[in-house]
Amino acid sequence: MISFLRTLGRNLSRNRARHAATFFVVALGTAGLNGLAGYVIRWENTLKAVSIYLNNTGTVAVFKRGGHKNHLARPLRFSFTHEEKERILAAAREQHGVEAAAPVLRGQGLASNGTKTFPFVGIGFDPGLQRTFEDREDVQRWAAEHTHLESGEPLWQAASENPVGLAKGLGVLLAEREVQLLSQGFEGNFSAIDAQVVHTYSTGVALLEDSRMRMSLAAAERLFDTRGASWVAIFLRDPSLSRSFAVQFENVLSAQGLEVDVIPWQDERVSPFYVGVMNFLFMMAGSFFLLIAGVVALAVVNSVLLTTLERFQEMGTLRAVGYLPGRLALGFAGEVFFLSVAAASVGIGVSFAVSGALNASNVRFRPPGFADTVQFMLTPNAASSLLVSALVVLVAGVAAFLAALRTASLPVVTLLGEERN
Amino acid sequence: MWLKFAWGSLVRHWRKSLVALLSVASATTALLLFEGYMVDVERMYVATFSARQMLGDIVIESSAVTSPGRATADDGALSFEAENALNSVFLRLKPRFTLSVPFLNFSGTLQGSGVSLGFTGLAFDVASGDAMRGERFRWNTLAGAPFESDNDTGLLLGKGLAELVGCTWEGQHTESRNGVMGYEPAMRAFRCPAGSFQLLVATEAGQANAESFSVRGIVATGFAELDDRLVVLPLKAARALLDTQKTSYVTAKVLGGLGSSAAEAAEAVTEAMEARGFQVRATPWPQHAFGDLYVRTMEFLGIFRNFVIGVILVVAALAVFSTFSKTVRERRKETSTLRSFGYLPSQILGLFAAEAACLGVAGAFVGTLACSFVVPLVNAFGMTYKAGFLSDPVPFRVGFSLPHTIAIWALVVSLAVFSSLIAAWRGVRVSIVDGLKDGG
Repeated sequence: MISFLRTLGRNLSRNRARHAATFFVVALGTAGLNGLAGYVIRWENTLKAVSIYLNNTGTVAVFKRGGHKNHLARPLRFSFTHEEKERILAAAREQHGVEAAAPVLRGQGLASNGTKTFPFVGIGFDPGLQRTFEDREDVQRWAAEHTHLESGEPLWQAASENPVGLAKGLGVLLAEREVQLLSQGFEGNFSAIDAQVVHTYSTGVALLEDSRMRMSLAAAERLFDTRGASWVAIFLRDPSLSRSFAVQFENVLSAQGLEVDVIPWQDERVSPFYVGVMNFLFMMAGSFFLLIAGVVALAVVNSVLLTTLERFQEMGTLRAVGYLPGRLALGFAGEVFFLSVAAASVGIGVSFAVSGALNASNVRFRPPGFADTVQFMLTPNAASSLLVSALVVLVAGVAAFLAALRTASLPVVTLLGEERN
Repeated sequence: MWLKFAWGSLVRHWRKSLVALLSVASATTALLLFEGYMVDVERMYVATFSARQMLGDIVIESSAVTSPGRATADDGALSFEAENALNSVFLRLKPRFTLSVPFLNFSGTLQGSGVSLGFTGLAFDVASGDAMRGERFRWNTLAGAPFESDNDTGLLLGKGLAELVGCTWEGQHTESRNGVMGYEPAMRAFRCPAGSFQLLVATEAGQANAESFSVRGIVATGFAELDDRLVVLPLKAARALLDTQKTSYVTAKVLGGLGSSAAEAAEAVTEAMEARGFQVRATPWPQHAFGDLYVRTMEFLGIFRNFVIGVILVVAALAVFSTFSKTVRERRKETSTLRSFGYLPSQILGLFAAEAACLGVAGAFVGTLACSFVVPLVNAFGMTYKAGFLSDPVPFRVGFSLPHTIAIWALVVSLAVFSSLIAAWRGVRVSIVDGLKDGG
């Protein structure tokens, strides 16, 4: 082993400039790809936190069968009654791994400031529970800027009877602190409440800024004249179990005679923004990986071919004493492998350093479709670093092996007789 | 002569140059593919906004409007007199303005089929809207048929809203009709449980008004949040419903299209209207709130492109650097011989630079050739992908742009030349005697 490493070191020191260039290429490729992975990881975590905790979807959302689409248009038929809601909450609390379960009300109506009227879609939930979720470590780490208010105080601090928060655009349109909300209640009767605007917020999505509103569950119950729920949001301690829990819980509720759809948070029906954005990012990241890996592979092939050109006679001698072409190629690949491992390690370090510096500098940008700027962050982690390094080293190693094999497979006579240059 | 000499050297040492050439070629291919993708995305957005959504080139609205693009009959819309003045301005500046479409925003409650839902309404002049959409987007309905004239009495429902009120249509769940490329002009059957719906609105004067409309067709804007509440009416019908003659905004098509022509036309309109006593704001749509999505998307893709370009170009440059480092070392005798004849180091650097330029051009050519095979293949696949907030899948296509291709060629050739100069800098300054003694 020691003699192998000594040989390796000697070979690598033969042409330092070229090997340094190869080292730099692999390090740069690794750093670039890990940075890209960090960008995808950032958005995956942010949108997950927003979908589960800030959009009141929960880790799984329990709808009346067909209700995820129709609860807004036909609340009487596609929302839960008070009794159904209580049964679902009770069943949820009996399940292992459930952190919390809460009813959510969603309805529409007209908001008036006395002179003008605007349509809105409002969502009602427990403000105390919302506060708990916003204070979570993962929410603060990944989606803190989505918990900030444009102005005013949070619902849980409001002392008024019917506190509401208006999306930024709707706040501009209404421009009043006291508003009247009119709705056709869930059972078809018109109802209205006087509400107090306690804050304005950004939904994060430009198209929703002039129609969204949020309120306390109690205010929503008064406005929509119901004690039922549009859906029940269930929060698991381990969100990774959402899919299996959804299947299992749907069976539990079906056994109780409840016709429900239990939808995990990653489903496009409840998190279309998450699904759309992540599909796009994975497509981009995948394409870039292929492009960068391809160019890195070619750079490695270039380096190895130049090296083998210089070591024709050495290879010829080794072939003459019985070494097979594959064994020779493996030797070259081994050199590149060790070089790549070292380079990838440096590349990972560089990616973390650059990410740290970038994150600390709070660079902001506004992604398409977003209502406000968000911080440009890169958050690679151990798993992404390991995966990226392994892939880059593999690509470099395979490229080196194939390049060296081509030369090593030449006839011995040719290798021995070839001029060095 | 230099190029001949450089090309000859390249061919003579083809083995060493081959992989460097392939690195340059792969960098060129990667850049052309990504730039081609961005070109196609840009073309798609421009077609979507300019034609499909009838924004033309510029958007003209009252300067008093607080939310651009969102003026309603009772808040910030252009008066009847202002619109007439605008039409006379268009006539006076006629060669510059080729088309214009007036729009009206409105909202209210849609009732029928047992539901009562808030809606966001959009009305436009049918004839000029048809002309603005052009042949590709003239048929703008997913199911049913587009408006034929401003006298039509039906309405169009957004896809999501249609589903909410219980409408079904041919191919609804089995087929994905994508409006991004334009629909085939073919009637697709649809059925709504209620034959008509009542629109309940507040008129310009603040009075309640309601009218029934039959459903003529179903449209998709590509934005789920918008499709869930969109109602489209002919302008005449909307004005009658809202008891108004106002216009929320007018879009216009300019000779010469977007760019400086549109900006100049916008300025000309603003000044002409001001001379007539009307304060308006005319903006090319990319700079308007309507174009915000387009601008953000191109910026976002640009960030990705710059990142990838950076990595790929550095890697390609290092490949060229490695090749030329070896080349310069091996040809020390040759270069020293040339120096002994009187060639200056700068002239020998020039020879290597010419050789690198030839390598760059050859690599760019190979890369472009590879692209010419890959691109039709990619486009023929008909792949689609979901792009975040868009509800319809977007076709993944790669376009071609001659200016971008030339820029990429210039970039890779410059990079190859620069890398070779770095590699050759010290090598050509070795003393003649040492160089001639060197075995290479």
